[in-house]
Amino acid sequence: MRGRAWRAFRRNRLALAGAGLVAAFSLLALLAPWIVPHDPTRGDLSLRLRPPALAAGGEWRHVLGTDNMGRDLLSRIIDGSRVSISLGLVVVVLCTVVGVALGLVSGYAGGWVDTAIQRAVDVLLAFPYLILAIALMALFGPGFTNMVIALAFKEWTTTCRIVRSETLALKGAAFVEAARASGARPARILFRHLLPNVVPSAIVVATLRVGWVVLMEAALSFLGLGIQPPQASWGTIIADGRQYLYSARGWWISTFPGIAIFLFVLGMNLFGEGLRDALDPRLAEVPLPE
Amino acid sequence: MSGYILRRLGQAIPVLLGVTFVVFLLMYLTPGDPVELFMGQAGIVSQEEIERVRREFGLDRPFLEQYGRFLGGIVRGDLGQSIIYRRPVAVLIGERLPATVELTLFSSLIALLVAIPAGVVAAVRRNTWLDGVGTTVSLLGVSLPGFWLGLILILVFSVTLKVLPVAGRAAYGTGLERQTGFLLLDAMLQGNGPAFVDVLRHLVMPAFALSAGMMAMTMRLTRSSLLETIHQDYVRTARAKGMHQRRVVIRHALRNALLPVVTAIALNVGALLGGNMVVETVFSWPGLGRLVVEAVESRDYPLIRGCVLVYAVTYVFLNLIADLSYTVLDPRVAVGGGRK
Amino acid sequence: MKRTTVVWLTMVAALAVSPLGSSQTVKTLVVGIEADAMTMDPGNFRHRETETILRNMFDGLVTRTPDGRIVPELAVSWERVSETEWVFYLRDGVTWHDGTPFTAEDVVFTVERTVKEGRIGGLTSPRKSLLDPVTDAVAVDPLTVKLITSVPFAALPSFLPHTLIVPKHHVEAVGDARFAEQPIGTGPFRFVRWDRGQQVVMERYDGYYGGSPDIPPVGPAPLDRVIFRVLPETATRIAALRAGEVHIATRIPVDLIPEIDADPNLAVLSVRGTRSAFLEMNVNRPPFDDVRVRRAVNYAIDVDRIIGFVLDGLATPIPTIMSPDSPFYAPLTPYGYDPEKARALLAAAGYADGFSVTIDTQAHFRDVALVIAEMLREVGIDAKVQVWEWGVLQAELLAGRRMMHLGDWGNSTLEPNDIMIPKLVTGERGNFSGYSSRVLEGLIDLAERVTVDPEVRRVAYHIAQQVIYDDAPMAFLWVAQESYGVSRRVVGWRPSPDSRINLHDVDLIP
Repeated sequence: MRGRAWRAFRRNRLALAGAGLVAAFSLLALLAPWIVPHDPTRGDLSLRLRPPALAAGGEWRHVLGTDNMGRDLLSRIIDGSRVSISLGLVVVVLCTVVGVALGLVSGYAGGWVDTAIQRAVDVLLAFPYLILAIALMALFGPGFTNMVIALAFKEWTTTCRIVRSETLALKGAAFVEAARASGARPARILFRHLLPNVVPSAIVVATLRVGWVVLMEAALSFLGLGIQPPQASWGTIIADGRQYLYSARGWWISTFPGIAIFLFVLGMNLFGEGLRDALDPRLAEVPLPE
Repeated sequence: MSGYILRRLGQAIPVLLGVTFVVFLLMYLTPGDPVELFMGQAGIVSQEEIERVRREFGLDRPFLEQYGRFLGGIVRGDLGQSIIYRRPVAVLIGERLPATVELTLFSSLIALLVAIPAGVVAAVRRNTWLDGVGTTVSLLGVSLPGFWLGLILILVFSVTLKVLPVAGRAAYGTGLERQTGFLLLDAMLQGNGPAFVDVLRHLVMPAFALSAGMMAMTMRLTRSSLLETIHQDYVRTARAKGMHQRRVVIRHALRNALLPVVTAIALNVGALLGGNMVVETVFSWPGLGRLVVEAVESRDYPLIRGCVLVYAVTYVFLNLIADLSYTVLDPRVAVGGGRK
Repeated sequence: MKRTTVVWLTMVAALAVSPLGSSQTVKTLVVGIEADAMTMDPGNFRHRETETILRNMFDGLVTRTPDGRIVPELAVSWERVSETEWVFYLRDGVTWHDGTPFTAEDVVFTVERTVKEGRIGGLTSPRKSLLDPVTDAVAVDPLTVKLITSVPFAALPSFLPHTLIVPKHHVEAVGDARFAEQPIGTGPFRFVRWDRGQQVVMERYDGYYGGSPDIPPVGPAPLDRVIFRVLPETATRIAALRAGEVHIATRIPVDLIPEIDADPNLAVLSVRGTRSAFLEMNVNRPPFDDVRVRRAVNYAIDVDRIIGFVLDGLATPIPTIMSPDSPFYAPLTPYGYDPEKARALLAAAGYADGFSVTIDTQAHFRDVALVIAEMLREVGIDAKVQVWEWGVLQAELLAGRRMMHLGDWGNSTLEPNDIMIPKLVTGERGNFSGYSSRVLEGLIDLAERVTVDPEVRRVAYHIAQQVIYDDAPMAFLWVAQESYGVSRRVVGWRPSPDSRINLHDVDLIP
């Protein structure tokens, strides 16, 4: 089964390309402190809004130009990849852990436990996403950790629902019945028998969600709730630079991180789609991110 | 069937109660004073004045009393007065909701028109270059920040090519009168052709920016769902009987494959409704999304509650529709089983 | 599937052809503004853009010229008849947009509606404190009205441009709620239509009396129609300006000015605004409880460099919080940039090794905050920047929990009390530095409640500014210019310091 999936994935050139993009950006993020050409947080005001090297008036010292504070844009994008990618990963890991755990419990236990968890999921799903995020950011104050909480607060519900329905389907399966008949305790059944079977779909959902988190952070930045300075994520750089988008003097500020976010999210999605195709062609129903 | 609907509606009540309570609690805990914010950062305001406004809007009441009053108000159809607009919340929402619904439905339509054919092509020509192109293109839209995509659209189509209006819902001067608030419908009712075209022109870019995500989802879903059905026995049988492949796909496979697509779309219309604040801001679309952003920024509690309630009701309603459509369209799904 | 494609293509083709552009005989000026009006009722808001829009449909007793002088509008002249009584003589022949004559009764109605409790749909006007010492108004005859204040209120005329007169007969006939949606006024334009969140449309009122004789030309407006279009996103607003869809766009960021200026169809007009920017320090907590530290911060910030590089020169440094445009401005010399002095003062205060502090601010001040933090680090103060959502930050500031706040405050009347009271008087709502000075409060009291002698008031406020300067509860920064992108077709308009956009005298050439 695993072997088949791997072969299917390897045949999928798009998925491989996606994985390559993701790997490249991850490498960039990991190596960021050593490869940034300039200090990404400090700028020289006399060097503000310098165009990229290939544009008229640009120089190779600042390959992608500088921003309105005279900071090197390439350095900021490389540094921003750290924030954006780690945010995406942390949020998704958190959502997956919580979602899988509650989904398993909900599906296996049934009864009032199931009802309680599912009603909570309903309440969260019925809540407009951004209101929730804004309120949480305001409530806990700005910062990386709080942004993780704000982004993860509702997102685990997707995984929870999918895992729950898979658990429900597996509960009656022969191997689970056999384990129960041989006197295995519920915890053991959950961990040894059910968990391994729901992990593939949880992973697919998670992969497809990383890009979404990165974009969501950009939307929060757009609404003025981005990551704290002097750090910057791709989202904050794009959102802050957007007013320059139409301007001959500064169009690059929002464009280049826009391309970076685009390539990364596209890579992540291609990778996720490939995984989905490879692991389980029937796992079709991952809902749309808001 | 009606019993099923009633039971589902019954289930909705605790969800709505939960949502209203959570929004109350969140607003209660979130720092920020609506009255101080309302007064702005200029001018003299006496302490008595601030106290008075607080009193006039019942903000000095204990938490549970405010919640009780809110619930009582809902029963009477009264959502309270907005603090910043100083008008009834229900009226404000009524003015803005049609704009959002119209935008959402139109973008869903665009998504469907593009995504379902693309998904079919990708499935039928699985693992060919067509599939690859389709996959990549459908993922393009969902790989960009919405505001960025919107601003680029404006740059290309309005500033450079000058073929579409920059923003807004309709130009002044077409003689369109507001009847239902759904401007396309209003233009049709009034037989106003130029106004209809004008409204459409305003709709195109925001609807496209909003539909990008849904397009990707729908296309992928159509593709995988169709692939699944194509391999099922009855399709194979039909093909074995010598039916032409295109007819097999369209007559047999597609009809069944579209079922999960339709349900997923119904659910995602709700997600679109709640997620269009960014697009509405970029395109100055006078909808609920912008209203709610304003409301949150100014901590206009009555207005926030009202908007959240509308979103929640919509969500519950669409969920019900999705479940019902599932049971109606697919006789194999037993009523009451629902889909999860 | 094919048919769908054809329908789709036809639709796209139809869309690409603009159906409009036929009604060009009507001279329509479109203003792109960043927020919609909250209401059409001039008595029921505290919101800058609402006033900007309503100002074109309503007039006040007096108005302010673009250079800040108070001149007659609906009043012809006024005099103070006693310490607490002012008489305003009204213009004859003014009519409301429905043709009804304007009288003293309307003024009395407006004042009472503003200052008395529960007069607008059961609620009290949020503009009450803008007129606070005014307790009542009495109509002496149809064209004479007396305003009564509780204390001598010498600054009254400066506050009156913000009180727009509403029609008694109309409000009483249709009710407050209806009036707030379909108003009539005495202004140069009459209300036509309000598509909420999108646009306010008004057309010329042909029976207009002509407006203030001090602001020529006098007469009905040259424009046929004015539309205020709501465009909250800056990039979109500029796109609309460049696409020719709006003729005036508000709030152009300084970095984009060259771009707009380079467009042959557009120009940028700037005016010094009325918002003072500053870096407030919490005077009740160490290290800022020591005045030497606060002065050191003032010396550590190179205001000129920030203005030159971050604000493209479009700001004026100020020695205290008063704008140079205020008639009460004391021309003190700003602290100036002197890092040596800053270090010396810090050392003298016992902070030779510096200290750590967080500068709290909102997103639109972040860049400036980062530069200031860098400058503070130069003198040994380890400063970080934290950006907040305003609702949260305001609550934190009001609770006195923050140490440094970078922000600004509006002073559209240019009267000292209008900014000194909220920002610097004990316990007031904008006093985020927690400053408290009996000397300053005594001086304000003298100028506002005790005397009406202009010379005494001038001296009192000059001393007050010296007190603020010496106590340095904040690092004083600048008054920034506000820039508008304007189509070259627009003639006769210049931006006003208080951010109003009065279109009475404006015309549009082809």
